[in-house]
Amino acid sequence: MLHPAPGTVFIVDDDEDFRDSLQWLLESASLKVSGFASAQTFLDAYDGTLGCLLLDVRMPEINGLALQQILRMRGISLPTIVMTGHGDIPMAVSAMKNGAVDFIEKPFDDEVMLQLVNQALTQAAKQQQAQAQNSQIHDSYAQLSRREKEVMALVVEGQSNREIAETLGISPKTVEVHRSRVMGKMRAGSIAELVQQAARLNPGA
Amino acid sequence: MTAPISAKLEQCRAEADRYRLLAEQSTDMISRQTPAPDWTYIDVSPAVERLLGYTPEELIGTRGRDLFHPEDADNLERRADSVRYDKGMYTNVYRYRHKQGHYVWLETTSRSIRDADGQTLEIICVTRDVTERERALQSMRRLARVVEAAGDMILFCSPDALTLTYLNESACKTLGARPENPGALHLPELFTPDTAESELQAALTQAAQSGSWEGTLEMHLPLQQRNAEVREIIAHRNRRENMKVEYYSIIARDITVKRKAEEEVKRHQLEMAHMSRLLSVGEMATGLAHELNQPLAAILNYSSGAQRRLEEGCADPVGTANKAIELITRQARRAAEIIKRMRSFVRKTEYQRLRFPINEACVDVSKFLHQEAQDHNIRFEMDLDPSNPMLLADKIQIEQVLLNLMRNAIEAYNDCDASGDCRTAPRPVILSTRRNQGELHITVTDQAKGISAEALSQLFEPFYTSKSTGLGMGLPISRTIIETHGGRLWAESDGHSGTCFHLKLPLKET
Repeated sequence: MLHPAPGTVFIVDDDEDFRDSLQWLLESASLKVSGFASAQTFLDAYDGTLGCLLLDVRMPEINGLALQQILRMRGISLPTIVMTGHGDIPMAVSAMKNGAVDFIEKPFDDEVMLQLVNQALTQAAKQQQAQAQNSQIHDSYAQLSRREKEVMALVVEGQSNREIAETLGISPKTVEVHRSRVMGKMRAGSIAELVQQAARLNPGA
Repeated sequence: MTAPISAKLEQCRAEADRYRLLAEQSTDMISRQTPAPDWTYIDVSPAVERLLGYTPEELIGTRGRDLFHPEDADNLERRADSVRYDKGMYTNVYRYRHKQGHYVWLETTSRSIRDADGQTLEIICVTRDVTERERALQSMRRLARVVEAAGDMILFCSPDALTLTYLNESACKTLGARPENPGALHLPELFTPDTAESELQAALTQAAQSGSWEGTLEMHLPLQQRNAEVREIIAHRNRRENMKVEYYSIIARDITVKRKAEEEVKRHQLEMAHMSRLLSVGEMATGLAHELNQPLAAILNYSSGAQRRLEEGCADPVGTANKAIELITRQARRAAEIIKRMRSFVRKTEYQRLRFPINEACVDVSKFLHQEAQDHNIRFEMDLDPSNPMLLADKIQIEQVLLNLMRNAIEAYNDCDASGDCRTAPRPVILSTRRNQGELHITVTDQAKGISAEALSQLFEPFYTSKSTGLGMGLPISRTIIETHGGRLWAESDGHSGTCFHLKLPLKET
């Protein structure tokens, strides 16, 4: 790997020998690696650092599938690659349903593994970027006045200034003032951009 | 001349009187009979009345042959067993009809009186009643026949030289001896030297003192290729001579067939145990594959990692390669260890009793089940007797039983859903060993949902299983194995909070 993606590879596997060997492999590709012997020690230590997760499905106490669910419940979206033993296909399927980016069977080819890790780290970086954008949009939105928020909602719905003025019972001129303030505060270059931001603010609406 | 004649006459008369007195007073009957085949009575002494109920007058002139028992009339002609011949005299024992119709046993010694040409003129017979003697003899013979024909081996043995003086048919057959030459054998030869010197001697001594000994003494008959054991020794003692032992009678039993059957059962059981072991391994194959996968995956990681470092020109290529080789070697050893463990478990072995520490066997089995325990979130808790008891048994079979019980305990938790009471993770399987009054007590306890009383009663029946994949042979085989070792295996459960399997085996402290 000439250009390793940024971020840490977290390994959660109860088999110390295997964990060490995987670390040795990943470090040969100049990746930053951090290993954990159990789901619990990882949960206790994880502080939101950018990275991806290499997760063994078979573990005592909290197994890989359970850890995935706990992470989701806690809103942690670490791109996860699940490692399975030979013949653990049903477990791999469950892991994918739980949102894993991919699964890999032990023992594995180093090229395949490194490629998967790189993809996962790239995805993590993208997620982080998107998250940063999201929080910026939220911050900007929070600075809008109540009236400005009303105007923004109607603009996003596609209403004209005159329609908005009628709906809110104010003059088209005033609508125009609010509208340009909204565009300014939200740092939106166009109506299309504002619509996108509104969608991110209100996912699912 | 008259005087000498009359004197001679007088002398003759006195002599005749003397003979008549002898004949008349004799309790034996004296008779003169014509030669065979009629044996008509010519004369008979008065004793006949006491013997046969007839007066001499009634008998004289009648055919003696007519009164013989039909089966005995031909004794003399046939030279039957009942006839002895000695110095011109025949002695015959036969049944003869009494005047009242019943038969009496008579013994007659007879001599033929012949003329100058050797023709038999008449027969002189002396006859006595031997009914009582014959009856006693007959019951003795019956008794002897019982002894002779008994299914058990019966041997008589002299007290000092321990020479065998009599062997019944069964003993001859087992020992391959000839009945007419029992003395060729000595009692101690039928045992191993050790047994002969210690146990046999002790048994004989006890018999000599108290009259008899009962127990089991294994005989050693390698030439005959038979198995037999002495069960009883009776000392026949002379009451008059200071209770000195006249001879020993020894009752033994040929157990060749029984032993063969036992060995057959044992062999069968060995095969069952082997099969059960193979089944266990089959059921554990997934776990084993996973366990083996770990070191293999690690080896691959180390070698790929090393290759990458070397290709990219790392600072210390020799050190890197060395380190990688060291790490790879360790993982290869780990893989080999797993294979070895599995093979030693599946290997087919002969039934072999040996002394081994039971605690160690418990640890071995728990290691063997390590992966399965991990997959099922099980923690083994060992509560082992600190005195480290040694068990004399077939190690592989005992390990198989422990394996079956521990796997059952692991699988008992399968019914517990995550929300149930037995969620306490990791779930315990408790293995304990205790020495208790000459017995080893092993328990395997789980804290799963327990077994209902109804299910408990069927637990050890073949093909009874609660598992979808099981054959239901594990517990029946286990119980058979333990019972062959003289132990017991049973289960206890309150039906809701767990099950405890108890296993008791005798500890022979020698």
